Amino acid sequence: MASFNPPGPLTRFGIFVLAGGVALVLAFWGVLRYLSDVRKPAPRHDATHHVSPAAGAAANPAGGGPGTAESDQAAAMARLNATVAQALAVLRDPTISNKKAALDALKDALRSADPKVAVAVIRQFLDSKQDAPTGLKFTIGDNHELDEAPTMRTFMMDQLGDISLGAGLGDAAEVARATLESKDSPDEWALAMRNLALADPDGSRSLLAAKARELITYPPWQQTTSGGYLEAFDVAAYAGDPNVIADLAPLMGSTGTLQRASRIALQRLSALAPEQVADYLNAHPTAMSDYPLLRADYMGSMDLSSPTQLAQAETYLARTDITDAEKSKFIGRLGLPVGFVSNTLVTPEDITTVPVLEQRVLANQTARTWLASGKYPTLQTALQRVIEFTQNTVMPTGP
Amino acid sequence: MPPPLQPPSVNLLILPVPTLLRNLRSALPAALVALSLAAGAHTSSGQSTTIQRAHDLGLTLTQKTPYNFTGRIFDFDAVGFGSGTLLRRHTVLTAGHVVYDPLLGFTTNTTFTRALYENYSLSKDPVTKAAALAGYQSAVNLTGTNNTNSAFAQDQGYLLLNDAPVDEDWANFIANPALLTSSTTQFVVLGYPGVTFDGRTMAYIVPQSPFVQLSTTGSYTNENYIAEPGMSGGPIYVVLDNSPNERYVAADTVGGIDDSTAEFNVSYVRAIDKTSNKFLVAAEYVTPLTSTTTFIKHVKVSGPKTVARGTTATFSAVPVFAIPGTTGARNVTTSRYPEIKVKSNVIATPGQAGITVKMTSNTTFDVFVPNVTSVRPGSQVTLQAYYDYKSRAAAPGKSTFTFTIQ
Repeated sequence: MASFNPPGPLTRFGIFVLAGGVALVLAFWGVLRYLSDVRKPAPRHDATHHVSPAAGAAANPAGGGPGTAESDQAAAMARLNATVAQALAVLRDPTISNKKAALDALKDALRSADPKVAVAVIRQFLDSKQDAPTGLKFTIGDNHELDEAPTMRTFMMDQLGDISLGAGLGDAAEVARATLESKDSPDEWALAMRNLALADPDGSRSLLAAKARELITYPPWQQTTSGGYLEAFDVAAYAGDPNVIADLAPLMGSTGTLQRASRIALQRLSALAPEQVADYLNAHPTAMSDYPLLRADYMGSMDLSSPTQLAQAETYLARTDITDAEKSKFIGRLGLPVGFVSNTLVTPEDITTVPVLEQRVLANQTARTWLASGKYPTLQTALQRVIEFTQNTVMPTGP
Repeated sequence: MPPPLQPPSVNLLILPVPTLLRNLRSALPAALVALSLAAGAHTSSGQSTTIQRAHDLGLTLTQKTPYNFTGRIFDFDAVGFGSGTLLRRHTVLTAGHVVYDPLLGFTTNTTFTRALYENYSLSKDPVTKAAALAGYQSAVNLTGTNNTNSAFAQDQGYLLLNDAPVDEDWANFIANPALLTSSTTQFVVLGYPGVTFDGRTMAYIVPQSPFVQLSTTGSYTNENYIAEPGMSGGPIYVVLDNSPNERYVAADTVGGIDDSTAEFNVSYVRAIDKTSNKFLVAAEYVTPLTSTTTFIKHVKVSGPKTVARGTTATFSAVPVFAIPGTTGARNVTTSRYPEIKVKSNVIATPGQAGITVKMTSNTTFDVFVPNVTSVRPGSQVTLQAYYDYKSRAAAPGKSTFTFTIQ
């Protein structure tokens, strides 16, 4: 686990002397590593590490004197490493309260550098295992990016994701896979899973499903429930594996944070993978039986235009272990989108943006069919109500 | 200082509390209910002040702007209610716990009755979408409590109405939490209290002191007034110095605490901030309320069968829709369809006289027939009307109407 190294009773002067030393060491290391990389005939990963002369020119538009492209690159990396070291020193300085300003400055420097240079510097930092707390929360903002990062490493992983993905580089996914090999930090896992999901949405889903379950059920992380740990429940919804219900359902009976996170994850999962969730809940009658009306909510995310899901709905309504109250709630949900909205790690922020009108029309038609069939005599009131509701609200409206 | 809210005559009558209303699920959490009727207390700052409580707003003010944008949200399944305010054409701001309950889930059978006052109201609409602003992380203290499981990260939610309750009008709002803590801001709290009132009377409270911020994420508290069950989700209006005649919704009521001494009450609100603005106020713009298939059967045009040269005739164009597979059609009688277009087969062109068609409202249009030789008496003019909503993938059916030139 990346450990924090809080400063001792150093003076501010001492801190900056130390920062300067760290900057020099990092800069020297960066130069050596860069030179080593570019001299390799066929580096395995180093499409992402290699910094082209053109990129170097972009990173050092002033030219940096009569040096070669290689020396320009080295200079750019050295400058960026120095900025990293300065930010780290600020975070470790107990006399400086505004840590965010240093991170903002570092963010600007990283974003304005050549992406390959920035990514290489970030990876160097992450490889160094250095870290420092920022005093900030794990807060997600727009576009799945962090508004606030609790540590220097999570800040750098957030930057890595954005810069690497934006430049079409593979570093974010590569670092993510490595991060997920050991359980060092739930916050870093959260960002690793996000970076992997965004970098490789198709190829990573099964791995992310497994890792999400590992994260959710890992007792030490359940005890501490860090911000990143809770936000990472979103990955369970994203991955679409209904087996995670077995992990989330027990947490619904807990208190506070785990209860809320598990319910939100299940709601989002049911919206994103309604067929899989319905299949699971029908196949596991005891699942969610302690929360029947919530189960009705999750089942109610079905898309009735799907013959498979329509059949699942009828299977659910035919179950004798389910009360009419729950079935009525389920019927009431048809054609009525509901959900939680928030900034999220990977899933869409507003999960409720389904084609409302089509679902309402389908709910109307389906309820009419069920009512006419006479199969559900105890649900006539609920069916008639949804027919009336959908018929009265089917009118399209403009924005 | 902006002028205060024009207060109606204060109703000091405390009504008995129906048993049912004590058990409302969408009201404030029971343990947190401010039930004190104490008239005096001390704030935490030591200043002596009077605890403010709900007063009857009266029918006249209830139906006036901006109070007429607030209404009661009633859940028929849970038999509970809260309050909410129309902040966009279709979007009602309310509290998250009015929308979602940890055991009952999301509300599914709910109406928004605008400007309800006893047996009077200005509109009543079914809710067609419900969402709570809630993220994964724990932030239980953000409703003002630190131990309740029903608390949300941000206790706000929204309801979407299919029909716009008011054409082109809704409450002003402002995403500026700093106003809540300003000593110069005037506040008016609205809602449907279910303890001292029967839950069908719009009531107001005028706090005499600003709010105190609880955290950096949007929750504020005020020890100067008593919020009641049923007021959850109701607006906190503020008056701005530079706009003294306007009221802006700046927050919604989310809870309150009674310390059981009946002398010290705290109310909690959740500010409208950039997150609210992003998710709640913009809700109806990210939700496809319209269909990608054709539900508008056609636009029904009606008007005179003959139009004399040199005159203008008025026609109406009303969309007619139906649910596929059902019989009958339903006329849309409101004027909420600016997307209706009408064309004539004899179009006026620059430099050449012709018939002109001009929409005069969303559902009416004028046809001018010039008195020129090129427009011959006895000839027929065909009008083509259609619904032209930009996001519709499939063009709806077009209809025609023909009249004869006299």
